[in-house]
Amino acid sequence: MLVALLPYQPEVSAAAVRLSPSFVHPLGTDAVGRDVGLRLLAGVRPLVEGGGVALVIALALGVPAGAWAGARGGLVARLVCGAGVAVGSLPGIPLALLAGLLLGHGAVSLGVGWGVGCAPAVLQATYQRVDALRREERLLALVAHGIPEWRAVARHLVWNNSRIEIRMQSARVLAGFLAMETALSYLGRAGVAEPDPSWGNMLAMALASGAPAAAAAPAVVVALFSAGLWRLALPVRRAAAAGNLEPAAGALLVESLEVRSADRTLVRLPTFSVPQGTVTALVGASGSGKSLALRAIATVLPDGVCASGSVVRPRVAWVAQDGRASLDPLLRISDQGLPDDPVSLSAVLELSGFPAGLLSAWPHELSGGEAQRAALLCALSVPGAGLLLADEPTTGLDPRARRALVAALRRVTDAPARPAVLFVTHDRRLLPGFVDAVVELDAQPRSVIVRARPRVVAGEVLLTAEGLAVHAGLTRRPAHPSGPAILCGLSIEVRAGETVGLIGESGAGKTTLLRALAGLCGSSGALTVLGVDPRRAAPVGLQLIWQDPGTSLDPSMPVGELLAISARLGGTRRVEDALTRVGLSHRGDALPGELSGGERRRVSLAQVWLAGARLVMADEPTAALDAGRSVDALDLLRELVGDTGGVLLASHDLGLLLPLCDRVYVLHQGRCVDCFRPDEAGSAGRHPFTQSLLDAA
Amino acid sequence: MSPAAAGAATPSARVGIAALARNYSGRLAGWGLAWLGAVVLAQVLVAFAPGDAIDTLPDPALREQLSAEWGLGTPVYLRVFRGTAGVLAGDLGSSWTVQPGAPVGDAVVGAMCASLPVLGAAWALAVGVGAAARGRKGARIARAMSAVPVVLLALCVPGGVNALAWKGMAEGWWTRPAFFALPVEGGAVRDLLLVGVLGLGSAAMAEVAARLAEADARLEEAGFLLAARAHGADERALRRLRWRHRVVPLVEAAQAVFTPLVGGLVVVERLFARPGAGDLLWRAVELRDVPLATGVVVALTGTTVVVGASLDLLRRAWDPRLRMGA
Repeated sequence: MLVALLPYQPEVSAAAVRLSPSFVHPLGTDAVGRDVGLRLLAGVRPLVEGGGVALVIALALGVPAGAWAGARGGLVARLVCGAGVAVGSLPGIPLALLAGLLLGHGAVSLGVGWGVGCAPAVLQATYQRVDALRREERLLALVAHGIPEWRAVARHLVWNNSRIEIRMQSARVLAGFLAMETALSYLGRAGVAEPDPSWGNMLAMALASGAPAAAAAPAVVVALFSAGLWRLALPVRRAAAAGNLEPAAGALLVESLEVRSADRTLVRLPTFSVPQGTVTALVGASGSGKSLALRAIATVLPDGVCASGSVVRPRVAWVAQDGRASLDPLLRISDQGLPDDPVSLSAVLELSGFPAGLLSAWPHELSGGEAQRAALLCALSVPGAGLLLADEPTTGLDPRARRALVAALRRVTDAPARPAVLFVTHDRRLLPGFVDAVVELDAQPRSVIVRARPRVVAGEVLLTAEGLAVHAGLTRRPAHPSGPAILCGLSIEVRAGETVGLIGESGAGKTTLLRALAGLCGSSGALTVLGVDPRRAAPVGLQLIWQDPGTSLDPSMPVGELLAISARLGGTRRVEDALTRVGLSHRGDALPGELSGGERRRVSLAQVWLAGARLVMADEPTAALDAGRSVDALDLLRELVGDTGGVLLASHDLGLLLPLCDRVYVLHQGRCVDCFRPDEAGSAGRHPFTQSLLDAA
Repeated sequence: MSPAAAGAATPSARVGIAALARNYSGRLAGWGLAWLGAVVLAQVLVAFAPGDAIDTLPDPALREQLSAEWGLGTPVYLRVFRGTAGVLAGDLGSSWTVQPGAPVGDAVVGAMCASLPVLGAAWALAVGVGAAARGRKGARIARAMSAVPVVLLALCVPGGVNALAWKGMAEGWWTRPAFFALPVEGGAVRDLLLVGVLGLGSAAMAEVAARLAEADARLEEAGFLLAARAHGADERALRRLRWRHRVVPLVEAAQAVFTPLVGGLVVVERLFARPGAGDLLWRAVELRDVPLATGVVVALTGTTVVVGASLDLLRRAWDPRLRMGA
């Protein structure tokens, strides 16, 4: 458009040939008397037109297909990705040449061919990102919250969480187009032909007319554009890691350790020591920085965080919070650095409580408790380790597994090397009789208050399931279940005003059952939730709270915006009121990643309230919360739902459920083996598994 | 300690050889179908292109004869079906205009033999330099290399060296060394294979470096690496651990850049006047030689599919989670 306003046109000879630069022609003229500067300016047109067409085609074909495949998974993903591979097998330049044959040579036809050729790469990038988010169950969480599936995919998975990948792919499409167009225009007819301006044919003209110096201008412009596009196409790398503390020999001695980010202090630890053969607990409220303190002691701080102060420690063994993540996924358990000597191996096996029969398993085949014990096994195998650091090692374990792991940690100090143990926990019930010392991180420690809730009169039936069987193959709202039954013979009822518990060991199927009750996975049998069959239509007023609150919170949106979405679903309550009710009125602008685990949990409670839930199903709602805050969170949940609503709580912690629930269902070996009221808990004649749970609690 | 020593039935024991064979054969079948789809797509595109090879012939009788001989009057779907059946039977037909009457199969095999060394060298260069340049400084260099499109490399690097060499000789700065077969002034730099390889490979370096940089960023926060660092593993052990986990991203990056490199053959072979598949495709498209163009596309897509399938299987062989569908 700008070019059209100028006195000369880039295709027209307007002056003598090969003029030197002047005021009228700042870059001189070419071999046929055309203004070089003008042609240079107009040379961007093929990139804008052809590159634009390529970009539109690549994005229009690749993003929806990739998002659809990623959101659906299974056969749909295989078919869509297979089609992508078929198209992607045709290299881009031959496709552009063929497109030139079909549509006539020029930048636009090159763009069509290049766009089709690049669409599979865009498809693949979008698919990988959306598929990863689906596997983290973000889509399921959004759909369960009541957001339409297409909007959840388009807005939350693609726009909010995949746009960086799509932007990088877009820049790669344009950079590739620029290189191809320049090359083909330089070569002749297949690209942009004379007299239309293109940087490629300007290079060819300059060289053919024996003026290599004239090629410099288009060459520099192409290089600059190309470098700029590649800059957009590459990921932005974070700042280098801050300096770590150096490990030293001897018992653990921490003196005035302070962990800081660029702008603030994150954790400040008092001076303390952990003598050999003793167990010390590092306790504190959720978000107080316990894990970060442990990472500072282990000298494995994340990027952008540094520590000051003094740490003197022997070689450490490390047990991470998520046992499976701390195991190398490419190696069997037996190859993860265990001792070769059978005697030592059986010793560490005994200490860790890991079954010898699972040594040849891959990490992804283990349950949560098995993975945690495997991580402990690997940590105990570190030769010469004098200090065992464990970050919330009992998170997600049922009471029996938790007790077994705690006993294993205690046994570690009895090993011949008498290592010291420092572990992070929010579960103060573990401390009596187990630890030798406690380091408190919270400035104002909370006392644990277990409150009994006054019983309410049960109202209308909100949920009823009769002879329900849950099937393998977790698909969303299937008309017919697929795969074998993994849970069967389940009969459950929740009435208005009730809080009903669901207890079982880790891996008993509590999460799967909750999903089946919400209609999110295949089941057979009679099921009615808020008056409808959730397998056929989404019940209005049903809300799920996920075990990991981070799953249901879009990490790219501030808390206030996230709650605004929930407010629109409910339609009657205000975001400000919700934030005030959950005690987060000052955190409306924060991103979920900036909140502690407890704060994220409160945000998910605010979502439930805003969406106007009548029935809430909560999966391990107190995971990652300390005991005091667990009770607070459940009290708040009960208050937010009100006496006309019902709550179904799934937990492995009977001690938590007993004072809160009106009725508790017991899941064991794929069946509901018992149902009791907490005030009858001590009565005889219970199922043996129920009795063992009651004893452990 | 070996897994066998551990004994006992583990979950992985249930994933038997048959299941793995099904997994692999399923992937291979998928790649085979992808190749077939690409072959059909290429033929459809060529068949729908306006104009035919006979349009430029002055003699109407000859036009009619060739039209009947080449089957230009038959419907497109029938031509595509026959062409695909011919490809599956190993018969690619005869060239129409580029090498009239010559079997397409022979021409394509010859061209591919000339192209594969350039392609292989460029691929190795891209993957090798990209992998080495995954760090901050290296990525900058790789980005700079990728920012210089192949034309500029072709013109500036050898052209500049050549011009400087000749100017030096003309000015008497140096004499022509006997062992250095400097090409004649101007033009002959096109024969420099190395420049072609460099030009082709440089375009893919940044892609490889970028993918590995992303993978490295994820790897540094992986729990097992944190555990290894916390356990005090020495630098050598950490390096070995990191490289074990870079194999899959590296294979994926190599797979991702291979297809663009195959496409880049067209440009490089035209630019450096090297005979090969890219050059043959260019001439076949220009002269509307449908059997030859189809044959070259079949060979090029076949190469990408074979390489893609091999790397896909390699990835699965390396990573148990992919192998067992976890």
